[in-house]
Amino acid sequence: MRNLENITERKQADNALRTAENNFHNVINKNADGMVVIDTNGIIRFTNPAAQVLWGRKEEELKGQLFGFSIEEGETIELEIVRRSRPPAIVEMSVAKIEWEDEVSHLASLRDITERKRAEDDLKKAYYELEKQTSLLAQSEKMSAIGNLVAGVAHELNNPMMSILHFINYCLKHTIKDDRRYTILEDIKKETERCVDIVQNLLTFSHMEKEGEEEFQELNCGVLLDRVLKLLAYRIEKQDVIVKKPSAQEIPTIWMKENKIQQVFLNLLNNALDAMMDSEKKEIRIEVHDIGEFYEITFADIGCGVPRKEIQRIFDPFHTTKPVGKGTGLGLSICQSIVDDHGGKLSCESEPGKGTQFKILMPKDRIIQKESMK
Amino acid sequence: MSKHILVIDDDPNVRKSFSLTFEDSAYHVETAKSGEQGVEKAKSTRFDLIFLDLKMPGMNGVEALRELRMMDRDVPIYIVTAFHKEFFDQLQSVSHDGIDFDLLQKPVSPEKLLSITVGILEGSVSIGGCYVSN
Repeated sequence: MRNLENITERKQADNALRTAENNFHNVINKNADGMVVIDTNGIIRFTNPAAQVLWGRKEEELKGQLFGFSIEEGETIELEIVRRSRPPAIVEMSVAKIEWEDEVSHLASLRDITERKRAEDDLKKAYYELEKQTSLLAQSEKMSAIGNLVAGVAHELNNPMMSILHFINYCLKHTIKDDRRYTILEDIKKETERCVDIVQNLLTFSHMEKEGEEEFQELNCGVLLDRVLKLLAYRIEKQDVIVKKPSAQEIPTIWMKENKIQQVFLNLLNNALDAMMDSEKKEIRIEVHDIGEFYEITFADIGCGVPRKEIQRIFDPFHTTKPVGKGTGLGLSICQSIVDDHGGKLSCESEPGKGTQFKILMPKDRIIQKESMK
Repeated sequence: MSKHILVIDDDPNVRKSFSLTFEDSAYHVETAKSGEQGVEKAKSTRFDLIFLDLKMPGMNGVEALRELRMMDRDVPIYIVTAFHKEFFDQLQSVSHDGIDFDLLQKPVSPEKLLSITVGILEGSVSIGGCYVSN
């Protein structure tokens, strides 16, 4: 009787154990998170199906292999699992110390966050794009307001300048060449003509932001370059900068939005001048090269250069290395948008202390531009 | 008989500029300080060439142009302005109505002014924007 009771109890105990084991296997096998048991030598001793799916390998392929990630108890860390013929999985891993087959081991729980990460990245990109567009819009509105003001003033100056030109001409006509005043009158005429040029350039630039729907046209880059250099003539002369540029014949015609590309040239040249404020030797080199389907326009200075860690960020909106009040941090970001809009590419190479080179790649063919813009 | 040029501009110094530049030329310059005055002068004199400002108080250049063209279909009229963009729509509508005119961007240099005038009134050729005299 006693024996019978013992058998019944053992059977009940066996049943309970089986049920517990079943429950345990169900919990482990049906768990959506990957579970890996790793011994003290870092060798995988057990994997659940979710872990096998994560690696894309069967249990027997994983068991006995080196786990390969450092194990930090109590902390949740992010890691990337490289897989065969599939993109890597990003997982969140948390580790607990356990006993496995009577040995001290670790249980790593791995949660697949690849999709979440991708969504987060997409969101980050969208946010970044939105921020960029917002800043471009703000800049565009600001430029439009400045443009209106400048255009108004410039137009008002045109009447008196016209009068001055005619008055000087009259005086020149009625002054004998031997008179000392004759050369002075000639100087006044020359300087007035310079004013006319400056005002014309101001007008050209002030129209830039207003004419948002500017058309593409085939234009000589040299003419634009000269216009921008004229506008910067005062700074170039004051800073005693040598500007080396190709002759007009060497500069090709390019399909472009005139005012936009002018803005890019102006920005890059202004940056080059800023970078050489404290340089002993001051030189800006402008080069144009034919490289297959593109023209490459280089603006190189021998200024302070951009620190290596900054170079990745120089095209980010609001990123600036200039002191407060000296730059908005929008210039290069706008330049990049403009060049992108032309189907081109703006890049930067720099060596701190030696100088910076900006390269603009502009498509020769308008068809490429259109396709790139899509 | 010397040819007659009419300059319509509200800025006295611009009017004076035209007068001085043509002072020793073969042309007779008359000036008007408003669109209304210019139209009045054109009623009594037949001009060979008219320079017309756009932005003027009272009758503006576009309105004056319409009046002048009603009186004379053939006289060359140059609109001399710094503000043609402001008047773009009006100028376009004038042009659509078949009213003929030319545009000159202020400031116009004395050399350019002479070159254009001689070119129109004498039928001379201008090279590179400069009048070449014999």
